[in-house]
Amino acid sequence: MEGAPEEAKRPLTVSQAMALAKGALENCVVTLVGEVSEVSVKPGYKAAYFTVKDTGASMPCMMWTNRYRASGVQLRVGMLVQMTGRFTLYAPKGRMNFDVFSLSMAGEGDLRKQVADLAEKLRKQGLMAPERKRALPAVPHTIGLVTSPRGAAVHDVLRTLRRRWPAARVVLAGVPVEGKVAPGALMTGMKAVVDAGAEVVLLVRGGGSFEDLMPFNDERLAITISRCPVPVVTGIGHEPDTSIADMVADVRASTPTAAAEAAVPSAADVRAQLAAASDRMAALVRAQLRTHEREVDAVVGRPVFKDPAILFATDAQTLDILGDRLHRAIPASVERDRAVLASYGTRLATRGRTLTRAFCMKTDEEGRVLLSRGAALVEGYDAQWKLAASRLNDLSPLAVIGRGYALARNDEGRIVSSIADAPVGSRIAVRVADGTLSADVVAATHDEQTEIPWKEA
Amino acid sequence: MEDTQKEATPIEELTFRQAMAELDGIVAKLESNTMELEDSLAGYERGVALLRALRGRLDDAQQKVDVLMGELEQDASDEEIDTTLHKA
Repeated sequence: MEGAPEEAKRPLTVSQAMALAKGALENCVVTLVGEVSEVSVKPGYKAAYFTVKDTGASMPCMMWTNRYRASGVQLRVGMLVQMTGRFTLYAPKGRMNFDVFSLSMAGEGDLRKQVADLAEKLRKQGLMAPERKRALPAVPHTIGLVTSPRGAAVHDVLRTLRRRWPAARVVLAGVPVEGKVAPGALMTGMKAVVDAGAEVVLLVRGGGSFEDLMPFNDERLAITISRCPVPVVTGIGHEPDTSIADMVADVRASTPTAAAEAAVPSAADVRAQLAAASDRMAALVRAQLRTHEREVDAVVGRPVFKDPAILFATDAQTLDILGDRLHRAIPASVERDRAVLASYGTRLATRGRTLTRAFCMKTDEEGRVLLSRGAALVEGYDAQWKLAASRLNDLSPLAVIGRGYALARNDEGRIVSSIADAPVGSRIAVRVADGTLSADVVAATHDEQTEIPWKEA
Repeated sequence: MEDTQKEATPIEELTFRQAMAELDGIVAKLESNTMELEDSLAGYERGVALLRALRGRLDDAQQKVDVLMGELEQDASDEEIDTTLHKA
């Protein structure tokens, strides 16, 4: 037990002393409020260094970069901050630091609570429901832009729109975006751009502190956004906390530039889309043409076009078969008819003979009657005939000539019945009983006229 | 018949979106592979005309900004960027 007091008396090394102090300090976690007096936040640093003070004391602070970023606070000199952390020692320099775990603007806690309460209220009213979110027009013709007319945000948006989709007309409502008047001005601006024909509204502002962005947590603005007749895209600051305007908007973009990108297609994309449509269309038409070509080829290749006789092949065969049947059918029927005919012939001959015999007997009988009757008749007619013949002989000119009369004909062969028919000097032929005399007319004596034969001259 | 009437609308009277939609419609109809060849070719012809008009509009597009409220500060650097780009 003697060794212990002895050891306690032995002096510590510097490192041991600092470790002792560090251990004692780090057990103590405190929350405090102070005014920022110095700030050193540089990109390469692993931590943000600053000093807070009040009237009687100042305190160096450090906050690891990841924690600082997460806090969302941008430190500025004169800012009143509330922070929670613990004291620690930086041994190499013997400096005491306050290691900040979390940081917020003093009084901001109340504001945040108000905003969170409002968000909850609006959520319960359904203003943030995903099914309420409207799709943006694919190719807007008119874009409403509601933002401050000053600062980088408006130009970021205009430049992005110009780069991506210069075809869109922009209607701009340049309004104050900070302070008490901002919510009302933003609402008026939204109405103005919608009235001007905007098909989508971009509600944007550049980065700022939580307090700066408070107008975008306004209840009236939230309701105006939710009731806006066209979709609303927000691009509000670089604030990691989402504003209520963001929550009720149809599309929430993280920055003004991102909001502009969300609102319009990229002309390059559309050109690519047009090129794709062009290729697709040409390919489809070509394919259809090829299909039709193949169809025509297939038809051309069909046997019927190579050998048109095929068209009639079936019919020709049918015809052959029918002809064959016909050839076989006709003689058969002729034979049949001939047999029928022959039988008719036999029957007819039999009947005919019977009939003929009957007629023959009748005819024979009638013949006999006729013969006997005929003979009787002939006797009468015979006598009559003989009488008529002798009378006919008497009347014949030849008979007259026989009795000594002559028949004179002039050289024209006409009977001479008048001296006029045979003028003096002409030759006449005189028919007598046994021949013809040729005589010249030497004179003519006219008989005494008893009557005048009037003739036409 | 309705399509024929729609297709009769002169392209210059169509908005970019309408022309785009009609072009998409033509491609979809061609894809359906149910059209007569004559209709396909007519559709293709119309599609090509739409494409030409749409590309022309993109080429000719110039941003137009109407300031309804407030006063827009000109962004000098932006003008410079544009000028530089045009020269390049």
